[in-house]
Amino acid sequence: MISASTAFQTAIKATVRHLVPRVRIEWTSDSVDATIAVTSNDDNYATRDAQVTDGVTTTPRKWACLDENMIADGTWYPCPSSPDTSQQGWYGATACDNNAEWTTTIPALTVTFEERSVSALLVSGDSVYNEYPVDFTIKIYDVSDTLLHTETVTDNALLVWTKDIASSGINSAKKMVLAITKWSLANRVAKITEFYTSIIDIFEGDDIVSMNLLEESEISDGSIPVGNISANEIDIKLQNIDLIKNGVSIRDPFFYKNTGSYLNVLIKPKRRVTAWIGLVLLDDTIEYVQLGKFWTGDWDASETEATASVTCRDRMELLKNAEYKESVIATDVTLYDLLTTVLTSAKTNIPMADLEYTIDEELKNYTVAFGYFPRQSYFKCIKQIVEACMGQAYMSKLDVLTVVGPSDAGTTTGYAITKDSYYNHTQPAKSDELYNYVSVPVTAITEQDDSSDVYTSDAITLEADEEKIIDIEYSSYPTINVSAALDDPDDDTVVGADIVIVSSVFYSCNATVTIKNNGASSESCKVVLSGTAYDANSDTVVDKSDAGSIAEYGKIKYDYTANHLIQTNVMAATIATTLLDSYKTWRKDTNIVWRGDPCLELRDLIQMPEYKRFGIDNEATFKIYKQKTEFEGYLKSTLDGRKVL
Amino acid sequence: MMAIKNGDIYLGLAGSEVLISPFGRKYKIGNVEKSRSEYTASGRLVKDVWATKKKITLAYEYIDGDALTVLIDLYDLHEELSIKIYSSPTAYNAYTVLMEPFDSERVILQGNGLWSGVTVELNEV
Repeated sequence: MISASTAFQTAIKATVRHLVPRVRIEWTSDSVDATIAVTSNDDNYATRDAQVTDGVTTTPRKWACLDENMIADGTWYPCPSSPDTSQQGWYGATACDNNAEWTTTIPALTVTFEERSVSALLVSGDSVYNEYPVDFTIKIYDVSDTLLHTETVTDNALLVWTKDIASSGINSAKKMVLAITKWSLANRVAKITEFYTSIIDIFEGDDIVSMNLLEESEISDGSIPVGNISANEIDIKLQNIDLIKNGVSIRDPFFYKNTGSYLNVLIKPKRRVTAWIGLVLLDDTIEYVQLGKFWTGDWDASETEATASVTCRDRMELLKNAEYKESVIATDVTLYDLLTTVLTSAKTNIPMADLEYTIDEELKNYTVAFGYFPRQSYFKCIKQIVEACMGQAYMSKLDVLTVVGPSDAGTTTGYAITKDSYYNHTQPAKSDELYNYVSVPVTAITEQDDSSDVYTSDAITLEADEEKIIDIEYSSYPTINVSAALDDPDDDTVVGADIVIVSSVFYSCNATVTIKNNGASSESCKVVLSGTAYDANSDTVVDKSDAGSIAEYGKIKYDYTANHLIQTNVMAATIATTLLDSYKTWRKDTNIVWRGDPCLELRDLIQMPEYKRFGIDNEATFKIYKQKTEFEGYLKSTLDGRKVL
Repeated sequence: MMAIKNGDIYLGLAGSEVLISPFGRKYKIGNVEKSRSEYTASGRLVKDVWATKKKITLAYEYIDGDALTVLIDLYDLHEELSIKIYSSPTAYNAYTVLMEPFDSERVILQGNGLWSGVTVELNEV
């Protein structure tokens, strides 16, 4: 449950509530624009150019720079190197002269990005050195490299220089170039921490027509709700009449091709959205509770309704669209460690540096002999892990990937929903989730032979000096001890003498091999990978059944999805027994339609009447597994919970 | 510009408000609540309120043609209007409003004419 003040907790239960919505949309920032690239004509040996777009304008330390000004007085620190991600920004290589000017090599920084509007400029110097550019120009270009705007600045005396250029009406920028001709101190290199302005809008109150949030830790598709993972979804409808930006009214802001709107080129999928529901408290202040972080799908603008709507999904959707291809076999590994490896890779390789996660310690109780994944989405990897331990995974409202094991007892809240706050209460009997015969397949992973070819390419021809990167998926996997070799392209031709393997990286199911022709004419070869391959067969099945339930309801069979991480009969039997115990009788669920409280999250435990009429008073505790929150000025929630026995 | 008096009402685009004829005018201001009420399972009535807006009505039993033209011209703008209701020559309440369409019935044809039954409704945005 999201924590809120006592005043909020009182106000959300009051007879009369005043609710206020808020939505923040990041149209452009380094976290939503994957195309941002930074280059420079004057890079220092130690520089972090990409950081000039991350929104951070300060540096934590005085990074050592060999520009002949450094002295050993204990105030300088070695420049950060991986994995230290400390802020440094762009460091130039060429020091300015005694007049603090550059006359021959003019240090320049170029940032390219998705086509976007530019309404403000920002150049930030180094906050610890207290150095900054004095004379500089910023040029903005469109996709055809046509110059759209030139900003010439002289005698700047600000560490962080900004300028509003909204009146220039730049709606199709693709590139910005900063060229520095004078610095604040003589004989120094250029140091820029930020040269990119994010576009972020916050919509509140009347601008938001409606918000509908669906959270679920289980998918209601008639299958047994274990090993479930799904993306939460929010539908947002905004008014599309006019938008006030920097004091200027923009008509029909969310229409594509409305070139009068700066949003014209920004209304795209994968923009980051944060949504809140706020409540006006007794002292007239507003306290907001976050509903989650989401990424936009397709936008839809309606002319007759004067609204623009968008469906957004949480971070799980991003994990669905990113591929995990660095899996190496880990032997006798716990599902906890395997998941940690996957999520660490997601942070580094997607990259998704801001990914936060929490994994239930219970996953340490599940060990697999061979932990690996074929090349597939991160989402599918997480799904296979939670399936193998009957766990669940979902994104919390605070954007934390939460993975819980099968014994999860939920989050105790002591939250009571009484007849005073719900409108209707039903007790759905879910016959489609009754099973009394469960079959769980076991994947046996066996070694094929000592060494076998797992990949042979077609003939590859490389022109003189050509280099080629080959992405390879093994014909049989998982495979260990893999090596790459070159072979004759066909029976009549021998492998090119000048072709070499430049580099190779081998994973459990795939590899990347780079080859190069160092010769002066075209040559051919085949690439062959050999290794110790394993077979993964799911021929064995562990069955468990309940005679009593079969006698009462007839045999209702459930075939558990084959999963290469279920590798022992013991593991399969545990899953089958647990499932059978839970699903051999009718589910005891609750469904209520009530006033809603944005603080409640999935897995929270709630207290509510199970039957409270005619002198009978049965209360029970339920764990929330699905929540539908509807905001249209008023707040209403439909909540599904499973009885905690 | 004429001196502003207690009770004057100015209406128009923000910054360009014009004096609305006071002759024969009845003025009414009230609140419109945007809310949703529902009874819970125990019979308790609960309500979520998301806005309280002003509704202003200017009703003329009779209005001359020139004054009516001012109102029609303002309606024809189809824009957000600013209304300033003075409680003294220097103090006023201001609201941003939308004007609803209104009817008028001609009483006298001659001159600029005289009209009746004009009721202008202004809803705060």
